[in-house]
Amino acid sequence: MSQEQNRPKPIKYNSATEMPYCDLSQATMEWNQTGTWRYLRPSYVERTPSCQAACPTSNDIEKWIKLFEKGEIEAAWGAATIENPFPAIMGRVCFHPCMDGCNRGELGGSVNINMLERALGDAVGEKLPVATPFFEKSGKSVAIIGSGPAGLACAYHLTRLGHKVTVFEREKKAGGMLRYGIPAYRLSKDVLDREIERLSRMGVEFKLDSGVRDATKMQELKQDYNAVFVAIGAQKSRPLGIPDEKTTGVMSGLDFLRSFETGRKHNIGNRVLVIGGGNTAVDAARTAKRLGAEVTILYRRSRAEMPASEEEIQAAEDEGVRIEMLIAPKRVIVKSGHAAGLECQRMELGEPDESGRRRPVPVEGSEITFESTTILSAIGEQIETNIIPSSLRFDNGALVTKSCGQTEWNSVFAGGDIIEQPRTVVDALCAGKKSSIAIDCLLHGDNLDKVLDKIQIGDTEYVSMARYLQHRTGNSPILSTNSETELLNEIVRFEDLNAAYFTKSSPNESPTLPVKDRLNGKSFEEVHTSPSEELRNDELSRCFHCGRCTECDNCFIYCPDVAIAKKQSGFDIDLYYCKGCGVCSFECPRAAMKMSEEPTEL
Amino acid sequence: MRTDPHLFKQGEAIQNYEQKELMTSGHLACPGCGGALAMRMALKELGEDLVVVIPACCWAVIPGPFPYSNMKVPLMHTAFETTGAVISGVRAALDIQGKTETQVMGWAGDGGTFDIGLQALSAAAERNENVIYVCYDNEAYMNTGIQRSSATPEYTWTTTTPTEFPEASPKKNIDRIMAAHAIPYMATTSPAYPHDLMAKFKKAKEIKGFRFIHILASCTAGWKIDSARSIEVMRLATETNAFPIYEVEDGEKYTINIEPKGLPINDYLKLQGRFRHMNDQQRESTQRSVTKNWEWIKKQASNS
Repeated sequence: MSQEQNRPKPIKYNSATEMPYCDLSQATMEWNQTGTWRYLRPSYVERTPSCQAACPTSNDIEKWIKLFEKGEIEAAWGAATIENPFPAIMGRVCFHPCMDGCNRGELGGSVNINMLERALGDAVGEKLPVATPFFEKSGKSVAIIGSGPAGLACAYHLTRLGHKVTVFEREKKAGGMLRYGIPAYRLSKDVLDREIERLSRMGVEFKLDSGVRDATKMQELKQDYNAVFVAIGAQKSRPLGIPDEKTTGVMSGLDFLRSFETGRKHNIGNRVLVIGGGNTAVDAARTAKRLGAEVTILYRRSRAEMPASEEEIQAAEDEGVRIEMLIAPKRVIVKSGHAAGLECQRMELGEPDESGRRRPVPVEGSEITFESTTILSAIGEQIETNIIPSSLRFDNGALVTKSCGQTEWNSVFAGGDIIEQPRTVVDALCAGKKSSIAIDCLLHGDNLDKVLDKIQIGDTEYVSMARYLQHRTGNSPILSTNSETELLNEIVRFEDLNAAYFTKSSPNESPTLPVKDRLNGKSFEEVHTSPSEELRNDELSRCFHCGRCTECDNCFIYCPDVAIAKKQSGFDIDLYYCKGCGVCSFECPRAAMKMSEEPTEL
Repeated sequence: MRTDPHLFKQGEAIQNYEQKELMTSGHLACPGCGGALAMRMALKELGEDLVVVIPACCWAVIPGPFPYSNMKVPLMHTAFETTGAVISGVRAALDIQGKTETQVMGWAGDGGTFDIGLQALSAAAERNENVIYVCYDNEAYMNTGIQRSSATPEYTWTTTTPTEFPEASPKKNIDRIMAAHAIPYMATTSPAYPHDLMAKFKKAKEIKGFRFIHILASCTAGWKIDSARSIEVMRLATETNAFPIYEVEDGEKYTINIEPKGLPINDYLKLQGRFRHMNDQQRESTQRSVTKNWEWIKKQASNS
């Protein structure tokens, strides 16, 4: 502590003559080391915001919101894309679990992170910045089978980690379910093309129209590449299992959605029945509605059990889609070789099944028929297992993997809908990232389990690329720039904040196209539109910035001992004077400080 | 003037104050002292052209012993009951030297204001001396070991009002006494609202004549609170209406500066050891008197 040498010293008088003529003060009290009174010491920390802990991609939302609010759009985009390659896509299609985690929810309603993410992706939009690799080329190559969200995410992260990536896709265009499963009114194809173009520019090689069709081909890839990531998804529609379901006029919802991209046109007529309660069912129903048909969704449980996102169900209802609950199909009514309707049975809810949802039980003698010109079945998707070598096991319809998607063949990984995980885009991105880290560890001979301990967010299964980069290089582009700030793997909950500093405010809703515009003329235009700058800024300002210092100056102004100094960025605590009262830490609105026991020196 | 303490949005928190510190570290206040914090904030606004007069009180000790001071402005120690008279004298001496712009501030505790120094204070106010008189109010004689003063709230424990015989009379309402002198400026404030405290000193500096500022100052030892909660307790004093923050101009114009949330008084009482012995009846009685006082202030504010 060389600084201590320069501290003022107490005055020494050797005789009365050296003293002032009256009791006049000669110096300040700064010689007095009041820091010796202290038994707790304050320090600045960074904790994990609850939104980040709720996001499968562990997106550091607070970081990019802070930069976005300052108007540093490209920097914000750079921060967001460390964990999540596609803000523009996820701002459109994500079911935003982050918003369920958001602490703002306790004080007026969660920050509309989904809208902000879209705004961020769109603000960068056409400029097409390309994420730069973090490392030199490693000379290692990885094959990825499938270009859906899991494959794309894995390709993105591996490229940034310095590896050569080749993506094999059996369709003519990349994107997987993002392209063939999600209708254009939710994710415009221009945006998708743009984001995939970004990956190509980063150096990801796409081999389109060249799917891996059998297990032998996969064996070859395993030989030719240092690692393989299998992300073929679940593309096969589950059969209804009722008589005459192969009749003309009955088709899978997934094929119906896919036909829009492949250019095949279906004459669906004016009465469409959709069977199922998941996102595919709702997407198919809203698409059919846009073609002018009268659409009814038939679902065998009640609304509370519908797996589709609540927002999508609501939007479908707004657009005039009817939803019939507690109805299960019994047989297809065939008239002159064409499906003309569906005989169904009413159900009631019984005991909960293994999924925890109440099992639908048929009500005797409650048959009911619905007329139809087309029946779309969307009761779930299955995995096409034929390309997977038989030595890799399936359990309950999903490929069995170890941690981070590693299969029993060490250099082969899998992620996305093919493994046991929630079938959402964000979970696919999470799987892609986890496998990319596991592959990187494998290629570097690193112990994955030890690495996982360092990069997991709190007690979640989610991993942070920023923390992985910190593990690899010793510093990371996204974590705190202030070297004195300690990073804690603690999740900030609402009760950790000092609520006195926040007032209640309602969230801003994402702007949407009026229903009448959605159904005529602009049919396949995106339902949600980008927020105005004003709306966006207002929403940005609602963020609490949990666990992160925003330099609000509370610690500085509330210090009774003048022991905290403002620096160019951040603050300095002068432990020579700090008495350890704890006011700074207690009054920090966002839990970005902590008090810890004074170390005892022996 | 309406200061909203809740507007702590990112980047626009309690900033835009004088960066210069006129109070130094190394002083002798207890950890978490509200009085020390109040002085630091006040000096930021008052600036260097200032003479401070301090009678016997905690602040007679805080600046340190001879030959030191923790202030970068002249500080004069004086006897307990004389603050009002001494600041009048300092003012006259400065005026004779032509230093009419130099501010003179008396800084006394509640004992030196409510009890011992009241006659000198009243006389200086009556003469409308061109000075600022600040009472930092920690609601007892804390410096000498927590003896009750006439600023101690009813039912409070102090060493002279033990829990079997807690403080028997309500807190003297010094604000109404001072407002009744029809001085140009009378204000209450608290370090829990730095915006408000500093804005008031800024305003007081612009006014000529006698200015009285009553600051609530938490005392971790005397109130028996956790030092980290020092600010929180003062914030709750205002949010529960135990210490309303308002100002009175020329004895007539009342303005409420902090709109309180009106939380139940128990939110304030329960954090403090000095109130721990209070029974429900006493708490209810405190709630009633606090509400009554608040209603009275609200009425004055709406009538002026």
